[in-house]
Amino acid sequence: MSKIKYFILFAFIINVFGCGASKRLDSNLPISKEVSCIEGISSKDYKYLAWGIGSDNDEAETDALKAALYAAMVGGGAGECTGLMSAEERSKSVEEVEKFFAFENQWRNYVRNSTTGRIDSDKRRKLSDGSVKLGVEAVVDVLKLKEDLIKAGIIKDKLKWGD
Amino acid sequence: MKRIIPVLVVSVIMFTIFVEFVYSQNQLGSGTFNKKSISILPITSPSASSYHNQMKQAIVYMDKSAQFDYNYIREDYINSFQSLISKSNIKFSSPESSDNMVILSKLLKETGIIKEIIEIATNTDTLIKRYRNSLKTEQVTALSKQEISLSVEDWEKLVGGIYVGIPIYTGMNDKKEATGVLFWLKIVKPYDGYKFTEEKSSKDSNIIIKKLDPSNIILQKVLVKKLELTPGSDLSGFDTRGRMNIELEKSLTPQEAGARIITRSILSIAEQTEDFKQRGTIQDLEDGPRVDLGKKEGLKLDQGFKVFENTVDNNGKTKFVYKGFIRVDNVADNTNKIDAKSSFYTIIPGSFERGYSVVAHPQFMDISLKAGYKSVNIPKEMFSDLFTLGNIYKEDVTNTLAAELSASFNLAQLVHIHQLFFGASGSYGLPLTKSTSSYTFTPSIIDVEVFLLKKFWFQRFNFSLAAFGGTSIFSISGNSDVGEVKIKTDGLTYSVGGRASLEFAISPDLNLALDAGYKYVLSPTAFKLTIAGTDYTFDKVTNSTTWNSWKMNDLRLGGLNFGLRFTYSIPKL
Repeated sequence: MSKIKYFILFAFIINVFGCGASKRLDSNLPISKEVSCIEGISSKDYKYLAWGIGSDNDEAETDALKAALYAAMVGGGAGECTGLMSAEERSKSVEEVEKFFAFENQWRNYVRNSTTGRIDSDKRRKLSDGSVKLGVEAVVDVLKLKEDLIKAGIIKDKLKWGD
Repeated sequence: MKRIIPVLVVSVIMFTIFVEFVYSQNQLGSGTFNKKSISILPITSPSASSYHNQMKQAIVYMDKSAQFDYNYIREDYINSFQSLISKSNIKFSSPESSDNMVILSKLLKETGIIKEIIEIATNTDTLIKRYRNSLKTEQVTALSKQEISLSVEDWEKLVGGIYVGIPIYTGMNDKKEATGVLFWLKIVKPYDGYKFTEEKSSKDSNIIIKKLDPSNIILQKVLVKKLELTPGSDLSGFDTRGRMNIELEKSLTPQEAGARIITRSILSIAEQTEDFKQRGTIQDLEDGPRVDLGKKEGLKLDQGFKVFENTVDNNGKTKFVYKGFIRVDNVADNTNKIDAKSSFYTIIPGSFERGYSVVAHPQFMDISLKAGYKSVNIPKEMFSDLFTLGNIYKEDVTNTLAAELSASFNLAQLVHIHQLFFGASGSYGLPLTKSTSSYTFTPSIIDVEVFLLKKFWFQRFNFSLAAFGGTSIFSISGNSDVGEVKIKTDGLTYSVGGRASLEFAISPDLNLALDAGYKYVLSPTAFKLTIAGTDYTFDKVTNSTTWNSWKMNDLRLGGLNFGLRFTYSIPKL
């Protein structure tokens, strides 16, 4: 009888922690939010130094690109490149943002690694848990992103709205 | 024997693990490869002041390393510095003295040399050139479209470090060596940060370069080294400019040549200094590691590099952890193609990943020590009737234990063939004898050889083949009833042979090898006998009867040989 009790308790623990883990894994948002703005390019692009975390270089690079795009979209990055969303839009569009990052072939259209896969050894670190932290110079096409977010109704066209 | 082999294998494994552990504790300062700006200020002590011109000329003729951008300081500045140093209290006998650093820093600032050096090192056009060379990103297109202002971080990266080398020649010592002191100083960030003025490039107004204000900079010691060098010794290497200058240098007096070698030593010492080593990053791992270094950074075939990974511990402290050792396989020409990568082959593997750092590990010469066995044949009848003893040995002597010391150089940079070594060795062999009488006649064999060796690496192991030629000297000495006896081969006994080895890299510098080879040695044709101080000569033709009765035709100094060899790579001294 006591064995059954332990089994139920064990199953409960697994369920609780398992749900927690899957929730983190299921999130489409970047793990890292460490982003700093380097410069604006041609009033069209923002260039960021974005840090990503992943189990290897490729995952970390993907996470860094997501982080740069997230900063351009939602904000939160250090420096002068401001995010496209207002505080109100951010709180209203949590699910939309989550969905946006679900499709890699979609979000990849707005961001690219300007170092074309080249890694700077000073910007690659193995963390104590074994994961890789990678710094990537990411260029976000903010103009295109803004147009598409307006079309999707996630943000308002502030110029027209203000007129 | 059956027990020795497992013990040996286990010992090598344990020792390798220990060495790996020691290496893994190595730490590496952060930083990527950047050309360093160097200004050389040659100085003499008052007693050697008449050789100042030779030092200045040595800079002009010196082979220039790709690791540096050379800044030429105006001669009037150098002369004025020389004059002030002569009058100063600088202590040449105790160069490490902190007073010396204070004096040097003070004089460098007072004479305005530091201002001049900073002006040259941070010259706008030099930095733009470096900036364009360093671009490996899409900034190239951005650059042509709009203004870019460099951050302090960018500026520091582009400048890469401003160094001042001060070789001081103090004259010749009793051993006919040139003596002196070398000071390497570095201009470092002031405590309150750099002060800058901004300037638009005259050639490209889109670029704004920050100019360093020299008023508050600090001079830091990189190294101070006492020098004792033999004039001309640095010209025997593979340095083409050096070879061209050998003839010129022969016409110099020893003191003049000494002034030159002290000046030139600045580069060989730089190679050993952490600040100036080439550094790069593994960018690709297809067909072996590929690194973003090449001709531009002065990469050389077979040059060794240690591999490190940048890690962060639980306390957030960053540490570079040693991961393995690689050598240059093919040098990429990245002078114009900035993305070209050089390929490497792995010596000590360590699950490399893209983004790992590589740092040059200079190696100059391999020194080997070998203990081994050689087969010989020394007839027991040899010299038998000389001392009315009958045979001097109970049986023919067939086994020899030998110790060998050798030195070899990698010729890769000269002949463009990987892992081809030229070397010389000397060995001393003691044949294992059983005497028949109370007298002991100790035989010995000395071999002197030169060899050519080619290694084929398969990660941590290499298989090597060597061909060698040389000469052997066989001798016997002892005391008999007629007094002291010395018997030696007369003339040179030539030998040729081959050797195959299986070598294991315990560390980047230490290898352990098992050798097996065969050597053919021409039979001796004459012997010199010294008995109680009187010399006699016996040869095959004149003393044929004795020669045959002593069975001298059966004497074999060559044969099979086996051995265990440790090789250690030493840096340039």
